[in-house]
Amino acid sequence: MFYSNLKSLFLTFLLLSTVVVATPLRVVSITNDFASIANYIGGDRVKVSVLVNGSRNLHDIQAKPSMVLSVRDADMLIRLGMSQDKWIDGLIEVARNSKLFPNKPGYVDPSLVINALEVPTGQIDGRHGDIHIEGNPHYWLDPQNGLKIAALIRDRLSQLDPSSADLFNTNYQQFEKELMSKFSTWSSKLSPLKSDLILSYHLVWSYFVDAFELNFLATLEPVPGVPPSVRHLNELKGKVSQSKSKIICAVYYPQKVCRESANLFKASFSPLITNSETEDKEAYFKLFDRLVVDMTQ
Amino acid sequence: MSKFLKFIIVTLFFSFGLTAQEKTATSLPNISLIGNFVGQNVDGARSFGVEEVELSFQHYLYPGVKADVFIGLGKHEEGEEEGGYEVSLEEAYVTFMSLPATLFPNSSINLPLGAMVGQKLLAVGRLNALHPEQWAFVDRPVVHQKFFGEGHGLAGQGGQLAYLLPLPFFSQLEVGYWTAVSAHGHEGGAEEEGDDEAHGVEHENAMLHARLWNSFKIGNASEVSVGLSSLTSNFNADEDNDKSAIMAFDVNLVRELSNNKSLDFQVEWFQAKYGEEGEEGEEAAARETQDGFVFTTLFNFSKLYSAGVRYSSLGKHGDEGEDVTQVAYQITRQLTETSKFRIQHNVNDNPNAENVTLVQFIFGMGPHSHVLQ
Repeated sequence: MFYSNLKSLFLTFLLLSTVVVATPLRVVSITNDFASIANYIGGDRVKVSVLVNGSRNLHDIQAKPSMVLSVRDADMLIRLGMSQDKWIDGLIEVARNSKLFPNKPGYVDPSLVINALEVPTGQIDGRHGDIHIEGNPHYWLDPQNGLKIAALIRDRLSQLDPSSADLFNTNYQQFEKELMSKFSTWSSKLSPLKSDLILSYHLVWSYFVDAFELNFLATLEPVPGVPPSVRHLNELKGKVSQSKSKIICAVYYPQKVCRESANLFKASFSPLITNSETEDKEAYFKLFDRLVVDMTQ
Repeated sequence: MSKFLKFIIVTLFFSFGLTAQEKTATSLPNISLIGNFVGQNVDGARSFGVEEVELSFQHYLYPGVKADVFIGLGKHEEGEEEGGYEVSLEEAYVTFMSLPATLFPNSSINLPLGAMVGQKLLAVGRLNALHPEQWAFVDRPVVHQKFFGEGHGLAGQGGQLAYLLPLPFFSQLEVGYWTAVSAHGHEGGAEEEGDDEAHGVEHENAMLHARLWNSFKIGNASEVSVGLSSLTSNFNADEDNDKSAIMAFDVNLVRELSNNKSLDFQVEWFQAKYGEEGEEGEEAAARETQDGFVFTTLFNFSKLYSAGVRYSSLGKHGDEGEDVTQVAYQITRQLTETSKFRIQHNVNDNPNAENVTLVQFIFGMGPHSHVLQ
């Protein structure tokens, strides 16, 4: 009897130890958007940190040595990909965390699972401006891609922590349900803009306008990465003169140019954030909430 | 250029051109080209030309194993072929990001111990390891020209281990064993006239190198890096006076002011200890020390414009030579992410060196990348 009780106590202790010592997976995300999705899917089985907070042009980020620490200790790294974040490769190289080497489960590149827009063909060079050879990299701005990103994160988390796979899947299904419900709401609120001609400073919004079936006309840049010229703006003015139009401008592009162009075109102007402002599980939804409000003001 | 090298380059470019037409998979390396055009005005004498063209080939060989090769076509500086161009191997190295993961792939050991073998610009201080397109100025400070030679700096052939220390801040230790490639340092550039100056540090035979690099985040917008480096050349020599030693201490503070604005302060301090050229063995005189100091401030106004000031100071070598100081001012206009115009003016407080104005256009084609430095 005594030994039987001891055995039961020992097995209980072992079981409790497993629960107590199981640590969350450490996830590093390049932006708040992927971090938010990872927090939703992973729940308390993940601890998520972010390399770049807020709305930033990810191409211009200077990698810092302090970023290496997060990468060194991570079980999973979620990058943007599409050569937009090449500085991440430097971090992976210096961190020397083999769990995050390309093709390992901990290396997550959602750009490989989405349908990329504006993928160029043929010979491209400087005449075409700063073209992204793998397509437009702002893919998180389509909620449908948010779903694909979430599915990828679910699959990879399940590989890294198989015992929590059911939890990840349940959370994914909840994420899908909530996202689709909100998507209907956002679409409904944006539908009055479908008759407007939309212009933007740079090709940031392609996935957003595609998702919500808005009517995108052109960018103020004549080609990507080249500042607007008077000639190009006058050409655009001719195209929008008979229509209601709106200029949308990511906050890290020159707001003054966008505002003055809006005055020139007699268009409305909306400065817009491009990324979630926090990393909590609702932050990705709040990004679209905010975009819808700012677009319709 | 050797026929073999020409053949390799033409073949690779031809193959790259074919595969670039379609979006199909390719096993070719990333191929890039950096062009560096420099003009100068020294006391009314003007020149402009192609300073160098650098080809790079970068490719993963294996998960966590990467090869980088940089070949330069640069000017002959002196001798019968002065003004012509020569091919040189600038760097060619393989990086093993994690030795345990590569050698024992089935092991669960995740030790951040990496290695690099081949030919590499050595990380003594901050600047020596950088390529010209990474420099904040057109030229290298007089201190670096004296201590690390002309051209791009001091390179070695050999290998190094790099370990990320398990500390709550970034701390990386590198230890390397190299054979000198660019051996002799002396003052270079258009300013050199008389040769009353002491010869610079002589790097030869085996070199032992170490660098400890720490970095600390200060709030959300600032980061400070501190580095301590040591280099001993000819370190197998029997006599200490045949060895050359350089100690370096560097600090870099970066402060982000807004989306595209930032301020960067860099300090490098060097102390070299070396003997006179030509004196070896028991007859060599005792080594003398020489100090060098570089302070740089860079201000990025916007995505397109930046400006900087650099102050360099080089002391005497023992009692030999003169104290030399130089102040350089530059303004840079980015054309694209990989191309820029730069104008720079060097003011030399040195009777043997003229003030010089430099203009530069540097451009890049292809996905050229460098490791975090």
